[in-house]
Amino acid sequence: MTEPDDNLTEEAISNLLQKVGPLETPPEDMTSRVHAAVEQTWQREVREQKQRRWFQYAAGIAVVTASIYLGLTIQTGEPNPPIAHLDSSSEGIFWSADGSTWQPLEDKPMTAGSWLRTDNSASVSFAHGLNARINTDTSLQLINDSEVHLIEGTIYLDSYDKPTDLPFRVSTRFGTATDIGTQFIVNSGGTAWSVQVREGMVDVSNDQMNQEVHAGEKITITQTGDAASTFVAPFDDSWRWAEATRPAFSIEGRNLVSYLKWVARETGRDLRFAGPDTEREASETLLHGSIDHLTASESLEYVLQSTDIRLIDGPENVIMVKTQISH
Amino acid sequence: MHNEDLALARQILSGDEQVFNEFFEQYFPRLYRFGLSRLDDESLIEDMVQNTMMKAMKSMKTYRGEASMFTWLCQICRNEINMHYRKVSRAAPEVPADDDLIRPILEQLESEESLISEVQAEQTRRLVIEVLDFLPRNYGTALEWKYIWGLSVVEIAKRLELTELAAQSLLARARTAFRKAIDEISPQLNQAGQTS
Repeated sequence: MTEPDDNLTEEAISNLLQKVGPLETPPEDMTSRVHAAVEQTWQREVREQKQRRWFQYAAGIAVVTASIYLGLTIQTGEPNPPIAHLDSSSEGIFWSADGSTWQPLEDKPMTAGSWLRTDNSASVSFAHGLNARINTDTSLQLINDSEVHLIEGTIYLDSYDKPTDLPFRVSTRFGTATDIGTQFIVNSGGTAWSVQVREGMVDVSNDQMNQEVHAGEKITITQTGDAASTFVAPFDDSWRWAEATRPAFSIEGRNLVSYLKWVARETGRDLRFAGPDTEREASETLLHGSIDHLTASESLEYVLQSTDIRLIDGPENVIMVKTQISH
Repeated sequence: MHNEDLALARQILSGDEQVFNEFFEQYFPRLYRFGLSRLDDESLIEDMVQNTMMKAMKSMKTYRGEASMFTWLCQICRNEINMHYRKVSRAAPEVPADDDLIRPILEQLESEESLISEVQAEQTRRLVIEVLDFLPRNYGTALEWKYIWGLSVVEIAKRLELTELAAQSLLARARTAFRKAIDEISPQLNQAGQTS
């Protein structure tokens, strides 16, 4: 038996729903198309999950092996090896073993688990080749050689020289950015985080979303999960601090093409030669001297002055060069 | 904690095709209607809902059951729609959920008087549908079958593979949840309704 009040409520609900009418259902052809696309993604994800589980199993065995090795290493007194080194001045860079007691970095080892805090920007290179540039007022923890936990501030990553396909992750308290062969910036602030991609692609995820961010895109995600995407050119001013924090680049004995490619990558521009003569001339030109203390942009005219190659006007996103020698 | 949804996520990731198909049948129409409330282009709705479900598949391993599965899916869909509007440099249209829209629904529930013109307003209709879609699993469907399609409790019981008594109980819980959901949309109006 139902209570009288419940009857009244039921009648009111009944009246309301009858006026609302049948709920729309998606057209059949749309349902088939979407089902096929989603099913494909699901099957791929299931396959990858199985592979991941297999890798975890394999990694488990590796951990046991590593533990035995570590045990032996500790017994022989061998230290925890550094996973990265500083490419720039250590002035204004602080190191901590536990994230609470800080000391000037100086020659402290950047081992897995150690913390860094910057008053000045810094360039750090990992043993496997990945270059990280840490902006001022940033703190982070080096989790291992494939992950950095960004507590606060901004980090730029360039995986160009990283030979392995192992993804590198930047985790924040809001979510994680995983690089897929790229240059990108991650910023973590008080109420939001952002990922800005210059080249390649980054996988951005948290417990509510998983998204691929492509070159030229910047995604900002608030702590409530709202996401906004904007366009940021690869040569936008927002990349400049990273260019200014570059690791050392020796031009001594290097050919001009190799140097120009480096400038293009550092400045987010494309490199174009006016013709095959120019490209041949550039590949045959060997450089001497040093560009220390200059940014890639600043060094360009300085270096070209000592060669027969000159910059010519082109689109903003292109470094265009031409030989002065007539063939 | 939404343990049932969490278990569903794990079953989906285990590769159970039947579970995947049930998941699709349950959530695709609801997300489609969610898209209908926010977009007016059928092909765009298809794109947004498809992207949402594909991203959900990729992120299913990160689902922790803190929100219901449908709330989680809607959050992904909302982000997709917002990003679409940003890409085309337009602001996403506001989804009306203000007091003027909710009042007729509450009044309809408080009295037997007809408010046909207001209830038939498309926006209000969409809001009621959204409430139905956000109700826990089977509740919205049971209410739709009973009060829109006019199915008997026996027929509903048969469709849901329940006993008649269990179907009656489910309908009672569904009505309570529906009423509660409507109330929660506007606590202030609800309070006013109770004191008037």
